[in-house]
Amino acid sequence: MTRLSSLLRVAQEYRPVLRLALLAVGLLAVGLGVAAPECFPDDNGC
Amino acid sequence: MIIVAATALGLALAVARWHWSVNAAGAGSTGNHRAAQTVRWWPIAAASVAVQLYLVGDHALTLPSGWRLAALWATNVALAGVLTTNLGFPGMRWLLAGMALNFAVMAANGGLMPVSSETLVRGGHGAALARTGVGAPLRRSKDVLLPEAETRLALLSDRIVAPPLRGSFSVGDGLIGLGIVLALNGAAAAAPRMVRKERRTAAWSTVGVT
Repeated sequence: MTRLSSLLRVAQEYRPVLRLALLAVGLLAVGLGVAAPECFPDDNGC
Repeated sequence: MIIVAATALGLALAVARWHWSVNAAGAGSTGNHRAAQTVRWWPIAAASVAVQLYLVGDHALTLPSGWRLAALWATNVALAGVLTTNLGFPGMRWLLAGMALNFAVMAANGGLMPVSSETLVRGGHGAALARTGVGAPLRRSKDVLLPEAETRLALLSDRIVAPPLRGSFSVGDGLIGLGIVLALNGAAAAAPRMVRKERRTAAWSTVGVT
């Protein structure tokens, strides 16, 4: 119980970072969609 | 790849900025910190990218090229809609400008992003020339192989290489990467302002003024 509550406290403390990460995911999706670099990520290391 | 690299860089800078602002605000302040809003309708953007990945994959080669192009541009329209819905984010106008440049050069050259054989060689993908004829789409990309002399708006095509990264990108891609970095940093910068406003409100309410 104590471990769970401390975990929740840490999650609450770093909530802005998680939200930044979620924003980054959204921006990555939009960016990958509208960009047209020479190749998508693949086994060639692009 | 430039967009993934820009997102990683932007996120690292944004987290560092947030961390610095938390330390500057003093211990115990993190609990009230608010940060970034999410990108509205971002699952539509993610779904569009998934469709694009399918359309440029080997399994979609059996589709008529007209259908593939139409589907690709349908995803572009959806992505443009998502982007314009989120113009309130700082940096989003750079993404809009980059998108406009990319779409302009793609539309001017038959719907795909042109890249020349010289650029492919400079970007470390000269091997692709062995399996791609002039005018043919490149496997696993939104590009088409075109000689630079036959490319309309050639300055906006995929012609920038940045060793040691492999591949090439366009001016528009560069603007999109810059926009992502600015959007993430703008979101991180907004958090301390929000916290200061929350503290002012809390301070006034403790003395009975709301």
